Amino acid sequence: MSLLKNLKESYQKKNTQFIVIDNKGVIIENDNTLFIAELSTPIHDVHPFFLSLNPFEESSYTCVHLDINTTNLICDIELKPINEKYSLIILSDFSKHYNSFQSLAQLRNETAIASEITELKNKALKEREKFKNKFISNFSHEIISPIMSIMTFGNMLNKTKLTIEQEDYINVINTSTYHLKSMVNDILDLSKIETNNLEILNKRFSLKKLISTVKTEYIAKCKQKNLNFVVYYDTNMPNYVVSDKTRIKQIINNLLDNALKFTIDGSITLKIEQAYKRARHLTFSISVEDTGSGIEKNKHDQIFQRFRRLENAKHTQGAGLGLTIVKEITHLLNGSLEFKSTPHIGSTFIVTIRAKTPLSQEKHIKSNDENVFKNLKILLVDNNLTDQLSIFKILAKNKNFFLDISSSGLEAIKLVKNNTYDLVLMDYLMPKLDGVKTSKAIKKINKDLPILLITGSYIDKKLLELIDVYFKQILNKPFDEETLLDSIYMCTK
Amino acid sequence: MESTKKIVILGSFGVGKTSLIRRFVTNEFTTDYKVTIGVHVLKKEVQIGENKISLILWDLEGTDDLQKINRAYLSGAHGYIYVFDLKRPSTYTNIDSDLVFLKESYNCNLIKVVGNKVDLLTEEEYKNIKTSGLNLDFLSSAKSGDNVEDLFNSIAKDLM
Repeated sequence: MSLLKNLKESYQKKNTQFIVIDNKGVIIENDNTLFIAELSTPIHDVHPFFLSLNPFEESSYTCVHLDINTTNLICDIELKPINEKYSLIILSDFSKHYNSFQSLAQLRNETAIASEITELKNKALKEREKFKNKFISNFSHEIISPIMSIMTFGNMLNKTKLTIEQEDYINVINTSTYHLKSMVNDILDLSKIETNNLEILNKRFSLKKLISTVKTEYIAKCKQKNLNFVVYYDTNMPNYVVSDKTRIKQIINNLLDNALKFTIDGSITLKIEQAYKRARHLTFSISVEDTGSGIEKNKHDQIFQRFRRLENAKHTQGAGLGLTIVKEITHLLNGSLEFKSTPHIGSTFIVTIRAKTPLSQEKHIKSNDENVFKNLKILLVDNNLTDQLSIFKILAKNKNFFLDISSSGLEAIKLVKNNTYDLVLMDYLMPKLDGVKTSKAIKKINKDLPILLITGSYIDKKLLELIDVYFKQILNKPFDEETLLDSIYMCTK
Repeated sequence: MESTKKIVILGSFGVGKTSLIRRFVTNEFTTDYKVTIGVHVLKKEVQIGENKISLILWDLEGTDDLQKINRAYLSGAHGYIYVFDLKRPSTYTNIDSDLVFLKESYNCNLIKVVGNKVDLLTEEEYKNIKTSGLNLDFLSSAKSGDNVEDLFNSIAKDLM
């Protein structure tokens, strides 16, 4: 028993100091185990911690840092009044324990702070990105209407009797406008992709016809650069597929434009090949092969980065978004993108798309056949006079339309009340009553009247949900004559 | 006349409590963050006119829950300095309830609320904080020393 008592005392003595103070805080007795403090001196001269203690109030403190002389201690401290005159202070040294805890706390706090700061930075970045995309969206919308007017009237002017010099001028205007339109569309599309607002609209269309159109367009472009343009359409491929025609055309155009930029002589080959077909499931590839400058292997990972233009692209036009958009759209179409390139030999880009085949491969009546429109009475609602004129000019060329024009939602509602129409062409953004509110009111008057919404803004999910509720279709600006007539056909057939 | 007053400095971790005290007591600053565990107690004498006052500064371990702090640390304080990080909203979302808790539990009305790290704010963030309606007494920077002396002198004056 005495052995245990002795061991216990010797152990406790190593870590624990006992100090007796009087009611004025003066040291009466001290065992000096942890630090030396002279008798008859006030305890608060040892450390300011003791200044705040009331000698007659029992209290205990954990993890108190005491830097005394050259000793750094971390102690648990207890204060126990003994009687009216004296109190006992017990200091237990747990420096080792607390120091190990300190390292853990350091790690924990640093991680928590770093994580919070990262989260705040991400939030700020997202807000900036949101603002940027909103700005791009608004700006693009503002710029799209004038581009559409220049395109429409430029094409119309081109069909009038012009001198050779005038034809040259108008060709420059048309080419520049097309280029400007492509860049605005690229920026707008990328902005939509980044905000998850780019919707894939799968519909039946003739891929063969699309490739034929592309062929006509790019034969002319290649001829200007003395390049051969070869198109191969796999005989196993069906004519009609169900996919997003606009996005597939965008992929093909961007790949071909990219090939045109970097090919000085030789040829560009576009191949459409069937990879897999079972029941209505179809996988096909679009490949574009050029004999251009090629890309060094160490730059392969840069070419799909936005706004990235390689050294050999400095003399070419464009914002450097084409391949980024191809990559993003391919991803949205659940497809894959591969590419191989050898410097000074050329590059090949292969996009593989998963699509479906429609139930029928029969040809549908096309909108470019004038006879499909039989005296349609159309109401155009648009507050923008230039847009009114652009649409009017397109419809006026086809003699099967009767057109009423309204500049406001309120006026349009009155016109629908008093007239019979086959279709309403409705602008989305209008002052006071916008396209959605006006359409809602029109549907209350005539629920069967088809409405084609025309917009230069994002077609976001919210707007898409309104298809079949108020709108038969939504048409994005800028559009050409064929697209407008196609949409009118789809809404009225 | 000389008197001794216990001032407790509290707030969430990493807000700069230790740095503020260090700047005030020894006029030093370091960017190295060292977590405080438990409590450090330091003393600094302040001369207010004819009077000398010894501020016993209790630098507490950071926590976002005041109720978890050892009562003995907070008891008997003559004043509190509530510090938060102007760059980290999580450190000042509970100010109002924390102040109510301090006043009700420790019967002390002398509480200074300090937004620290003002040197890190952009001009826009500074304006936003100023107009946010936050319950604030000082915008300080332990790094530059802005408002540090004023903060402790102000609490000393209020204690006279």
